[in-house]
Amino acid sequence: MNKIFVNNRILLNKEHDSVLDTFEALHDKHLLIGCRRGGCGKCLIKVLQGEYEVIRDMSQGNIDLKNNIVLACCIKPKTDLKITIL
Amino acid sequence: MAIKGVIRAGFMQLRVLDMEKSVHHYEDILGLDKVGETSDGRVLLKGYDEFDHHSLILRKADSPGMDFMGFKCDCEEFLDEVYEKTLAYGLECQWVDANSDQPGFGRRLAVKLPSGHRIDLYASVELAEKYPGLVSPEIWVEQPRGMSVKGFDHALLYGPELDKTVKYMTGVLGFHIVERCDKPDGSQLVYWITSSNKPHEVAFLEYDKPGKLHHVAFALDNWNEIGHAADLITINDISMDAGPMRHGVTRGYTNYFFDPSGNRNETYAGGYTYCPDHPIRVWDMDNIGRGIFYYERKLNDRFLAIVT
Repeated sequence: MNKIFVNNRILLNKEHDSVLDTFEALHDKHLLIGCRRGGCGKCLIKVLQGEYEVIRDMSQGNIDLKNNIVLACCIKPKTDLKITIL
Repeated sequence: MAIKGVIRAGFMQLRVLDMEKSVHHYEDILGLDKVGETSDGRVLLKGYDEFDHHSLILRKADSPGMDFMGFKCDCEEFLDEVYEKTLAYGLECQWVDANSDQPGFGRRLAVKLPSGHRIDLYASVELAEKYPGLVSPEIWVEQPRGMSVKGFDHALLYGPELDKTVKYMTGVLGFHIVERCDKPDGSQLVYWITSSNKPHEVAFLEYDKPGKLHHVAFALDNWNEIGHAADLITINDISMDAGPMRHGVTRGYTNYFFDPSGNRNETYAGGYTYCPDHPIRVWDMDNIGRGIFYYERKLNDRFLAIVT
């Protein structure tokens, strides 16, 4: 199980769950649960460390893949991830 | 009641991120029929209980949301009158040629609302290839699929300049205010307005960003169908927002969920019959939770905040 490090906390990511699914499963309100489908842009994060897979198309509004600024509902960790919520 | 001028909400062109997943969602799960594709790759759909050529257009884009919403009017002369009145009101508008970007549609008058939304007014549309029976008809011609939505019903639009927008919709286009929600300072947060006997054909909410879509709604017949739609939301792992439930506003039954691009959908059934002599129903901020989520009596975190 990959770990997600965020603001001095560690969340455990279940296989097949997106980063946002992990927050939602733990009832963690630090990330607003929006459309969960890459459209509304509310779950914007920056991945500081680790590898991830993009699992669905993201609205291009605020994301910046080169700088690992992505939507949490659209990525799945491939390794442990360190992230910050934007 | 003689319904004159604008007679109803008629279509919406929606932006989607993934066309294949979107067509599966709207065709197989909601149960709209695919009418065809345009040369630029947009997909046209309609409900089994609709007569017009199409009512939902999907366009692949980098970000979701709505391009424009159409309202059907009773005659071409009305469009000419609205053209003059719209210019006099101070809004931009322009004619769109018949059979141009919307196959089967006559000329349209595209109006840019103060809220940032584009609405298209039109009076002529070709009859669809498949439409409800007209002679001693059965209840449907082909057995409906999935959620069995009958067709496009209404939309909630978010944008600035709520008062100026609603004054145009009522003063120039002849819509009636059915319900509204007032803020503590006496200004309005939302208006639910109609041009027909339906309790809403469209609603507008005051919001800082222009041209936003809160939800596009499709019609169902009753509470049983709302339950069936909710079953299909779970079975198909669709992102759920809220429901099954009912509204205090309009008293309709509802589910809210998101399409594969994050556009919020509603399946809507029931609601009272509106007549233009009815007084306006008014909600305040202390009670609007019950107005939207009648059973839970409070909104969830995302309901007001999430738009495309």
